[in-house]
Amino acid sequence: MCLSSSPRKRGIKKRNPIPIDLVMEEILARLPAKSLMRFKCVSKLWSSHIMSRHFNNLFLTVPSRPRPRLYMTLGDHKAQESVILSLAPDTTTLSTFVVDHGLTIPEQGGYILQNLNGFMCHTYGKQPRIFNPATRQLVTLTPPVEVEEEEEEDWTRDFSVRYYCGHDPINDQYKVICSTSVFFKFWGVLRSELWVFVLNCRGSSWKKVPDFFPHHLPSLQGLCIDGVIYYLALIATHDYIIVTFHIASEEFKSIQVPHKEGELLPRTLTNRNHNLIDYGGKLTIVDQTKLGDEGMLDLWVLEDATNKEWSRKTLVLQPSQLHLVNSLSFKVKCTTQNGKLFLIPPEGFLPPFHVLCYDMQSNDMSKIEIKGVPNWSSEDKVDFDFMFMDQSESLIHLET
Amino acid sequence: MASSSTNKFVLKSNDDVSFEVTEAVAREFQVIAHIIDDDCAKKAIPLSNVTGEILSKMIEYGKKHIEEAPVDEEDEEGKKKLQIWDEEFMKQFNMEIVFQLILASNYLNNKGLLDLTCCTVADHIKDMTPDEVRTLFNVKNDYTTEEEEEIRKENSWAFE
Repeated sequence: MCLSSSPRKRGIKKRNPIPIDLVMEEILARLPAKSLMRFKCVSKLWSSHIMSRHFNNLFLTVPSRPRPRLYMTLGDHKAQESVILSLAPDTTTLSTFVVDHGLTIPEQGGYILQNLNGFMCHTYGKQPRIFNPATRQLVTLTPPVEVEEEEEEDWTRDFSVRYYCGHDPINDQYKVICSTSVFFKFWGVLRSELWVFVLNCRGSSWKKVPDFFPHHLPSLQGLCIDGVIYYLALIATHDYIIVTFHIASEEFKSIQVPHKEGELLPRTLTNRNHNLIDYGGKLTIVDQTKLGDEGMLDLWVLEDATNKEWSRKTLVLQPSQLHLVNSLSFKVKCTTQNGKLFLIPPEGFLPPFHVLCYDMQSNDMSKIEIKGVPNWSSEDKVDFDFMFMDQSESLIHLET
Repeated sequence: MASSSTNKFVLKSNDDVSFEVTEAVAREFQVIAHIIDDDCAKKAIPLSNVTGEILSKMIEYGKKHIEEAPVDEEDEEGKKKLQIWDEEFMKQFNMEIVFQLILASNYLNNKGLLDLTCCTVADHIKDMTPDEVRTLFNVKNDYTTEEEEEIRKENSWAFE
């Protein structure tokens, strides 16, 4: 930047300085997060103002705040390299997203668990991590239990550790739950334990949940809607429940998944063909078994959690758009706040690369090009995961 | 009652420059709209915090935003056209004038112009160093050298 500082300094003395509240309320709220992180160095008042909840709310409501973002993680098992890529839309039509090289973050990534109000919850190695891409704050949690070597090596048994994160908007609380289970590969779940961790609270540690109801093995990704975390779990062969965790009361409950006469939901729910999504504020199981061949998506919507009522809805793609899903396989990943579904290739990252966006209201499937992904040197198939963030940035700082 | 496009008011700056505007333009500024609604509008409305130079620019902005107002929420083309005009409009000012426009649009309560001018300043300062920002807004650095070093280290990526 060209700075002719002396005339400007002279100018300042002459002019009426802008009242500091106007600077802090109106001007700072329109800055990108990166500038704000730098301007925490301006003064103590600026720093505490920028970190305040009040300012974060202001920051999120500024009309000119830019568009959604996509985040991708790329990982290479062989070299154990991993990276988080941040992508911004190239055009206003959101048909192309381009990697913003300034925000490529090395030695991070892994499997993305959830997008939680601007935080990316992911696992890296065996550690659960909560990352804020706007402020670059990274919180790493130590797992509540160590996996014992012998249990890992026993071929008849397996050990599973899953993490689910949630936010309760009423009390503004962030919590992580950990579900650990030991299971026989052929006969079912041996035992399971649940743990709760309160985030944003100094000196917090994992608390074990006493006497949890059925022993279960979690599957699929979880999600959080209105202060309740949901995940799907297996309690016996072909017997699934939805586990719910109410963040404020820390109460766990279970809901039976819909059983249909003969063919309601397939007997086995797989990562590849099923997922949990937020459909208009309701927990929904998406069954995409018939997507590739018939362009059909089955939605099982939890209409009433208390009375355990489900409804079924079938979406059928326009015939002219069927080619988008039957030439390459795609897997439902997540939804946006305005009811769009994102689908990603389950086979890993293979250029040229695109994802699909499906508008469930207008029944319109469209292709989203992904550009600017840096060359990945390894010839190994590259693992990747994907996250869509409506609210592109949050300034909330988690206390640890 | 006369329509707002024919009804005229006179706005008078603090250096005694008078501008005759239609009621619609006058109403672009919330404070003036209240004066009109309270029926306190006499022949000329004195604006004690705004100079003639700044007021003329604000009226130009207000007029444009009435004449070229997008038809409705869906009118993307209209919005885009106005946005381009806004960008061009702001290019003619140095920071000193922009600051005065912020003060005046805050005083007369015009949200659109306040947003536009604040965005211009945000864009101007977004790559500055903390020291340049302190100078620009006359902020005193109350960190000790060690404290500043620490907070700078914590956010070192933001300085790249």
